[in-house]
Amino acid sequence: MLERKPRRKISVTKMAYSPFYFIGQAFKNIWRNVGMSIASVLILMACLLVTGAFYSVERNINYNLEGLGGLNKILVYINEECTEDQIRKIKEEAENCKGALEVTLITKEEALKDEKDKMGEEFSDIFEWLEEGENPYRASLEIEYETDSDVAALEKALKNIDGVDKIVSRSDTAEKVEQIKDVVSKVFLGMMVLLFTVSVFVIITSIRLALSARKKEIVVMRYVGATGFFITVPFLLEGALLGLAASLAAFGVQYYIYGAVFSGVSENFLGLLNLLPASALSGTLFKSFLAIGLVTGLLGSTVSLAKYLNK
Amino acid sequence: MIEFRNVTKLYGQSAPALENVNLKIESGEFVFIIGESGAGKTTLTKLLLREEKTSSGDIYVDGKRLRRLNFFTLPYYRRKIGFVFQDFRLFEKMTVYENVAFAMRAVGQSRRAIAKKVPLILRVVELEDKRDRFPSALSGGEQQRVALARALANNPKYIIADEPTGNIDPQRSLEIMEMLLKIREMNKTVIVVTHEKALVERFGQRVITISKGHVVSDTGKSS
Repeated sequence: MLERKPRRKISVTKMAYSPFYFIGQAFKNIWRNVGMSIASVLILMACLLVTGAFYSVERNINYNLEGLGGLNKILVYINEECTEDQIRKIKEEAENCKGALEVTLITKEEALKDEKDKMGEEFSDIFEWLEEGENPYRASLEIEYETDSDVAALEKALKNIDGVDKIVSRSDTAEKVEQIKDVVSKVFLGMMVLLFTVSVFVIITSIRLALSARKKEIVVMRYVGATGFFITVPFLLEGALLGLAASLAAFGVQYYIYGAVFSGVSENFLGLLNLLPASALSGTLFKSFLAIGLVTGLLGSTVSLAKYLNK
Repeated sequence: MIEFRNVTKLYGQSAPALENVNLKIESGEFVFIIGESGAGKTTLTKLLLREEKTSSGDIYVDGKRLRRLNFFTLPYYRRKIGFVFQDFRLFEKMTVYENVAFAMRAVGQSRRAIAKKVPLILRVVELEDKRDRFPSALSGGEQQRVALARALANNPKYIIADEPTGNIDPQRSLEIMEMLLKIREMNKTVIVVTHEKALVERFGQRVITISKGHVVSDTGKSS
């Protein structure tokens, strides 16, 4: 019963030093410790998803800030009574203020049109009504400054110009946005480091289990004179395959979730919050996921094999 | 030729496993290394396989100093040695043929070379009719012969057998020894590490006795 019928094809002999042999052995190792392998993939996936979420949030914050036309601007509202000549004069005076980089005049008509464009088609009837009646918007100056340290002096100088009604500076908002970005970055980075470390350790454990399961085989291989390359490559490939699986799965999940969030935001926020389409992020995300996945997998394998390599 | 020059091996603070050992084994010799348990036989084997490094002194094999072998050169040195484990270390899920082929595959031999050579080796150990059996279907003596065949697979110059008769009955032990003598005639140097003094005396070969880490007797070259 224990006798095997002679075979024409002998699998063992087919495999010497072929890439198929190494890949086959790597899959065999994964299958031997399937539970640990799944755990490694899931944890690494979580790490990649946090990375992906961080990247998506960061990119979208910047995208929305760009949409606001930047935060390093001061808005100067001009008295309604001012004539066009007076407005031109106010603009000239503002241009001469220290710290002012560029001064743009936004007329009442332009202000109304901008708002109409921003609100979209749904509110077009309200704007048509405003256009027909009296325009409630005021002329304003948009003043760009170079550095935050210019703001206080610039505001003071602008206040002294005749005809200036109100000054709105976005420097506070800019500071708050920067603070939020900073906190978000720190939280995400902390989670990334934690999950990355856990992933490496789980992969190390997984590879060590594979090494332990094949201990007898490895001892025999070493004693008959197998090279370190021949012995270690399947384990390195195992780490790389786990990393690759985690990368591809994480990319799929991220793409799906981002797509769902994108549709939800597009439908419910009416242009108040704009998200980049998934295609704008997918290229970088895919490459980053692959790189992080492979590096983590290989790092885990290398650390596990270090003991063997040092012998 | 194998040469031990003032070899000492220490493990921590305990007494030396081997102390100031000097010996020479010429190519083509058949040597028994005997000694009681804990005498230093296993340490000597490990040093010869370069599983361990000497604490002091040097071992030369064919003029090469084993201390100087590194991660890259060590595998090529080990291909000169066919090692037979006391517990056989056969793979239960592989047939006799595959167990032998495994050793050749591990050193990157071609399909054709494996297919050509394994049957010849199995003929030497008289197992050609059992090539497709699994180890569990073989007797202890037969399993040891498979282990011997695997040690021969890469055509080593030296055969080191660690207690080759430790797990088999006396009749099979004699057969294994006869087989090792036959292998020596294939221009190999055979070193048999054992504690079975009575068995050794029947063969009239060179016997090196180790006790408490020292070489206490050496009968000199065999015929």
